[in-house]
Amino acid sequence: MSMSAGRNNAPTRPRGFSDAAAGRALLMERDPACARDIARVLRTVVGTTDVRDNFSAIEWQGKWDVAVINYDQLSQSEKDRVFTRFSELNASGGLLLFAAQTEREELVTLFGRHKARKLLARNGPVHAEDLLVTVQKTLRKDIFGLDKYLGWGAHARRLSVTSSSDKEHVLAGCQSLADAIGLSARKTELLLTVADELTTNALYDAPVDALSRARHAGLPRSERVELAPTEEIAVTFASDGRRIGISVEDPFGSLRPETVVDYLAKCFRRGTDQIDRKEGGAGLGLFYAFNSLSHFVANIEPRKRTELIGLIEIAGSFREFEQRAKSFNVFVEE
Amino acid sequence: MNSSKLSVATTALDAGTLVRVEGTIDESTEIQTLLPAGAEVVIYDLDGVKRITSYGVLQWVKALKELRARYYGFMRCRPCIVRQFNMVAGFGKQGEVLSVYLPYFCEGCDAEFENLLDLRADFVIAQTASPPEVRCPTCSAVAEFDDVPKSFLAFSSDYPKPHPPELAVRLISEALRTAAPRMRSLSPPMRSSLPSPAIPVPISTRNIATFTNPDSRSLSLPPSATTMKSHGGSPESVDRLRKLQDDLDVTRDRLNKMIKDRKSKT
Repeated sequence: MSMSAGRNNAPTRPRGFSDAAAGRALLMERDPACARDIARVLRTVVGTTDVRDNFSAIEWQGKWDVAVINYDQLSQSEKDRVFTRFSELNASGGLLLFAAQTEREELVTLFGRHKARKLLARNGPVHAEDLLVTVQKTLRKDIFGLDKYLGWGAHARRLSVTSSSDKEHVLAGCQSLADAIGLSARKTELLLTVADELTTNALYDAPVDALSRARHAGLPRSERVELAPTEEIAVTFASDGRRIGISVEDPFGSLRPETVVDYLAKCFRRGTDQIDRKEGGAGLGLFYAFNSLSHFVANIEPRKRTELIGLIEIAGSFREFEQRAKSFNVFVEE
Repeated sequence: MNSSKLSVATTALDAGTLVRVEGTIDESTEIQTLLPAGAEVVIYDLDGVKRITSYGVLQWVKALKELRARYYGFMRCRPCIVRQFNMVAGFGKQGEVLSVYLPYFCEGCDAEFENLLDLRADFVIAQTASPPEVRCPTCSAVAEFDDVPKSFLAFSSDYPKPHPPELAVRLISEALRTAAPRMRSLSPPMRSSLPSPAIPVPISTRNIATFTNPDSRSLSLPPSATTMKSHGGSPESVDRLRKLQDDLDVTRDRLNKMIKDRKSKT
């Protein structure tokens, strides 16, 4: 292995060079070629990038703003140790795991036991744009917007939702975009599922009163709800030809990161508690959205707003879509 | 505006009921429409189900919990339904999965189509996660099974080989006999020991999928035995589909005649 532990790979910058790059990143990757590719991306946005190929050589006490780790290369004990040692970094959203394989059991552990907040799918070579966006959002705390995940120039369509009856317009809009770009029938069905679940979540689960008590969560979803004009939900959908995405943003900011991962873990476990017995929804909405997507993003500004973004890869067959690992990111803007 | 509202049609046969479900199962789904009163045997024909939401799953599971039938099963389950069997524990409760559509994709034509798998006869295909080779109905090239076989057919470990009672078999035959207008076979049917051959169904026309079942001809029901509980004017949409199918048949016949004429001239 050519890389040496502890080597500082930050490039020397010329005097007077204006550079906003700051922060310190750790990269744990055993494949030299991959390490080179990922480090190249990291160095464009992070001041210092330390590359490690040996798990035991990591300085756990090091002050990392972001740690990028190839999860597939770790042994079971190493996987556990990552979360123990990086518990603070994980809680602050700085722990980013690459994974090519995410079996159901693994997801139960990742979400249930470890409360993992950031997974990046690795389907073939590392996707530079996704890595860049994820690291930038983590470091800069500029987290909102579907546009960050789509190529420049993608035309976004925006709908305002204040009533449960508006959901039909959202579904019709998604269907229309899917038809326009020639999205396959099965992927269109997934897109509609995501649009349905995220909009329902924003209408029934997100609204809270001044004391942060849920206003509609206990209602049957067949019961109509109306929001005040100032509480409108913004639904945006767009495609850049590579992906089709939907964003649903509510002005409540009531979703907690732990709620997202706990619900996912509960649903992946497939136990007797998989479907909620309580009044209101089935508690499956986020799980359905996750399963229907290539990339699921939750942006949360507590008590202010929540944005849930879903992205579906357009190219390739449904089989390829199902075979690929999924990305999952939760960002919190304090 | 929402053209995929759920419609449920029931057909009674002795102590059994065939329940045909079409559209999207969601928050507007009323549990009672899925529960035929007093039926001992219930067959759910899910051929027309387009989508199911998480709240729809809740409604569905509640309905099955209230169902008092001594036997029930699910036939012609679309991939969106198969996904539920795989994702949600107890989605089918004690019911049997009788037949599912296998999704295929032809890369050359960039087209999706589905093929019916009768689990009564070909359960081993599901058990071994080995979907049969199928040719594209348009170009005849070998199509790709458009899902991950092991995960798509994973439900077979929770739902064993179905053994429907005689009345259920008659209801299944009735469902196949009265399915919306029949399409001609566009390609050789897949390898199967099915009593009724499965015909590839292009996605765009999947709601008018048809099957042949010689046994079902012996069945005759009074028209009044079929009832439609509609949430969105489904009888009209069925009529439209029938008309569309008739038009398609006429066009196909014309094309065949033109091809024949051209051949005879050359």
